[in-house]
Amino acid sequence: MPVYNFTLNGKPVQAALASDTTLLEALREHFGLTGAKEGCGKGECGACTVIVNKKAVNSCLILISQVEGAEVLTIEGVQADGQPDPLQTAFVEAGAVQCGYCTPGMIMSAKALLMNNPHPTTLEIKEGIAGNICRCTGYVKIVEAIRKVATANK
Amino acid sequence: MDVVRPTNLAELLKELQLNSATGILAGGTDFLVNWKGNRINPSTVQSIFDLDELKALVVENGQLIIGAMVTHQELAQSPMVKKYAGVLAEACSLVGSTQIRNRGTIGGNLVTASPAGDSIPALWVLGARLTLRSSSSERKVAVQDFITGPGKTVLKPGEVLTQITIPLPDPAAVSFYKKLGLRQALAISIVSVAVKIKTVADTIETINIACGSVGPTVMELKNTSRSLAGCSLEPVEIWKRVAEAGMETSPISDLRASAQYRQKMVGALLYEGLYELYSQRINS
Repeated sequence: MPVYNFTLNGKPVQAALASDTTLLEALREHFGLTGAKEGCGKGECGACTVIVNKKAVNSCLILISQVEGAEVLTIEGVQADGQPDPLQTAFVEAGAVQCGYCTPGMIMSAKALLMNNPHPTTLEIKEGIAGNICRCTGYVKIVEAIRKVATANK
Repeated sequence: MDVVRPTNLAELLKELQLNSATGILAGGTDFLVNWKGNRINPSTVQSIFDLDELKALVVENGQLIIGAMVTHQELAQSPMVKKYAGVLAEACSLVGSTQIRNRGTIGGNLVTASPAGDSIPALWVLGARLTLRSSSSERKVAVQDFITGPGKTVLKPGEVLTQITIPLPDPAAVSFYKKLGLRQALAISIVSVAVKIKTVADTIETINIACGSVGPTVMELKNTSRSLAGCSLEPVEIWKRVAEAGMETSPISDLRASAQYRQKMVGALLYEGLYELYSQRINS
């Protein structure tokens, strides 16, 4: 079985897995990081969103053999020194979490957006999360939470 | 499925020559969906997303050169592409979602050859030429000649699409792209329209119109273009000539829309784009 080496949430890791294992499966089953969810398995819902080499991607459509040498960041890695990421705090305070199923992916998309564009307009925020479906909240509070963090960035 | 990672283009071409049944995996946003759905199942696949030789994005000798592995997001955000091939940047920005655009490649979009492929009408009006290479050959094919039907291209066994070349545009030409989908993102287009247009004062000199999702591959509206040449941008005049533009297309009815609706929307999208151009002109 081939062994793949990459950086996961800031730490170098290894995975001995079949080359056609999806990154989503590797994260959930091999590394026990169950934050990323399989909502559709086809790249149409965003519940599996993680950040690879600073870009938001659907982990259900990436194979483990494609992340050799890459930097992978998951929801479990956004906290720093035991403190939640400002996005996590903002989501909770804004009431942007109901069932929570979309939330890890939503926060990863928001985080990638702010990494690349620290002061997005409201339209840019909506475009940044357009790949993440939420069945509960109606998105308003999600956008508010992200805008709050973006404003605090100024 | 065994995933092989060639370290360079020469290795890839050699593998393709030795085993023409091996699959090619680029960004994976089409391939892996089909693989998971058991519609394709090669025993080996070449993973080429990270091949540097296929990631060129540069202007050289009056041409914009785009490697096949450049992603939709890279094209959508590139100042160079916005400047020299704006209609392509626009089209790529409307693909799927950020997550899909960060992996989906322009090469993959072309080789998947979906009638709804967003970048293809844009490449059509830009006069793109595609470089196809094998271990023993290299040839260039006009984008208009690359796709022969839904999901079918002229790629021969052992060949891979390496590059897209676009001549730098006439600085006097402007372009736009319109996409109609069932929602604002993560939508397969129902109708898409790419237009390149040259105007003199407020009159159309020449116009090229290429439409997606209204035929087995991109449909070019040659008659509508001819009838618009010499026409003023004045909306009433435009509408007379574009209302029935859809008659030049041959859409199918499917789960997303009926053929009749698609034909009507061709004219509507064309009108919308030309109206916006007219508005910009009279407001400046």
